[in-house]
Amino acid sequence: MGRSVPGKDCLRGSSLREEQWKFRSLWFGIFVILLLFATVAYPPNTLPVRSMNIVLLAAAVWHLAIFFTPLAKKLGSTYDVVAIFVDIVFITWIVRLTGGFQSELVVLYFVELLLAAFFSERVQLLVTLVFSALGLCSSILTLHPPQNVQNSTGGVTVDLGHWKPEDLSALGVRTGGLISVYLIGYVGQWLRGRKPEEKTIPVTQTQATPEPLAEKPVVLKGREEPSDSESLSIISHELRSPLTILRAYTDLLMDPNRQESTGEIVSKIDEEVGELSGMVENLGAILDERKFSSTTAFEPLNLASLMQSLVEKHRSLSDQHQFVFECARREIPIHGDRPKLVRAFSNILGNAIKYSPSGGGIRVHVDLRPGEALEFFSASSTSVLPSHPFAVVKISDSGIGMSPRAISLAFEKFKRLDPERTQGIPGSGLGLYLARKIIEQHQGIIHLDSLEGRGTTVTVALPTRLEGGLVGQ
Amino acid sequence: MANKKILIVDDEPGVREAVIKVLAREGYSVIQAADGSSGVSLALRERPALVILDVLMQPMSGWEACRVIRQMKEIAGIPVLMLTGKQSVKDKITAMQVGATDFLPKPFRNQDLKLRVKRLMGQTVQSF
Repeated sequence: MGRSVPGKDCLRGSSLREEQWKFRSLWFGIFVILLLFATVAYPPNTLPVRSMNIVLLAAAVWHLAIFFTPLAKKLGSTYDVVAIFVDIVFITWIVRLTGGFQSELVVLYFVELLLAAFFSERVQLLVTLVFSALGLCSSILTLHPPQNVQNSTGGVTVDLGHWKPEDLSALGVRTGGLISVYLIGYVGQWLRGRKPEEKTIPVTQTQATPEPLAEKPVVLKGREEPSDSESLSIISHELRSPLTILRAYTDLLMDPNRQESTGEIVSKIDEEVGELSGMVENLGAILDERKFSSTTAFEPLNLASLMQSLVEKHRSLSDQHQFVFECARREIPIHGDRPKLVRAFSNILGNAIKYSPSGGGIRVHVDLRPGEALEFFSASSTSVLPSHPFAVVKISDSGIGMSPRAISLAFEKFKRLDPERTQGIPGSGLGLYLARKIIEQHQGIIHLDSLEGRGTTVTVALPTRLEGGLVGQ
Repeated sequence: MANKKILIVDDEPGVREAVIKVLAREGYSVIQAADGSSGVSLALRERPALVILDVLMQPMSGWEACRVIRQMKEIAGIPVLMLTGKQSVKDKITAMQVGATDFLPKPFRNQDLKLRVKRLMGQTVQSF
């Protein structure tokens, strides 16, 4: 069962996962249903059965208390000891249901505990399957021990006996017992929080510690869009970090006894001013977001030349990266809002630079493709016309890549993901969000593929014909 | 010899670097962590004389880290200076509720940080 030690949870990060709570609730529900079933199926007509039911009831209450009250926090490691005791009682109960003591069930349970604690899910599954198979073979041999029988020719044959319906029933019950024990271990592993890695919510949302509005967490759960007040508080926080650094270095600069050189301090200040400027630019675009529909000014554009000029601009900004621009056509006509598209592609190119190591390659490929050929088209919910050609821009880098979770939230507002891996890389979590908004304004599709440690490819498809009749070619 | 070790916990490397620069010049030995949970672990291991905590961090916020520090008897007595976003009444109440010793709004002046650190060093907080 859920043997996550509360004290240790606090140290690990204290993020009570949503799924963990769901599974705790699910597991508790299953436990209660089984308990009710046992009570009905085995009327308390004997002292041992009555005692067992009392113990089980106490166990259920105990689980309820430690799962859904703050008691678990106070118990610390005692929680583990008691939870194991409760599990043993539960196993005993299964043994009773399955008609007799089966040592393999108890041994398997402890194997599950060890596997869940020290090994991965796959190892646990493999060993459990092998163990279950051995247990079943053992059961079959116990039910029908092979006997050597003299045959008519004087030789010896092995007689496996004749199966009776009650034998099959006993085997079925025993198999059920093994499956039950496996499920206990498996659900237990989920409860330990190993399985669900996504959608973390901060403890402050589930526990009593009050969290002022201004200190709402940056990472929002699921695909929620932050409210206006949350956005403002996040923006305020985001701006405060570079301001803090700027103030620290300007104070140092004014200190006559400083040990750092002026050049070193000015370089830091310059770095932070650059960071602040990028934030302000993106924030300006966010403020304009609501005016998108009324202010978007579409005009005929040549995407090939626009992308080429953007690549040249970024090449001049970063001589640490190898840019490759590929476009087989001299002209790729679309209708679009030039400043907004420049903002969107600059954000994507900026990310490619930020998340690629020095010397890493950044490839920009531009082409014209029929709508039907867009393999990711079906996954999109935009209202583009699939029969029309699309201008497709692929921007690939050889950077640090993204985790599956980060990919799923990459286009959300204020999502700064994989904090451990992106530590030290400046960013506000607005770049890709803005890019998505702009591309959607152009009835286009934006798609992201990434492998951790291998790099990221962002694909943008823009229709050459806009809904409403504008033709770009 | 008096313990002059300070732990700075902030998810922004630039802020950590700036704080380290300022405090190292005052003769303090500064260790660092990037989030609340590793900060608490480091505090348990290194037993600093002062913990400086940023508030908004993932996966464990500064408020939560402070609360955990106050619950662990080995480190419950260490003074905690919170680097808060703003100096509102709500923040002050929260700081008191989680057991913070003092708090400093961002962006702060180096002199302000040095004075507060000097005042808090060596101060032992009553166990909560």
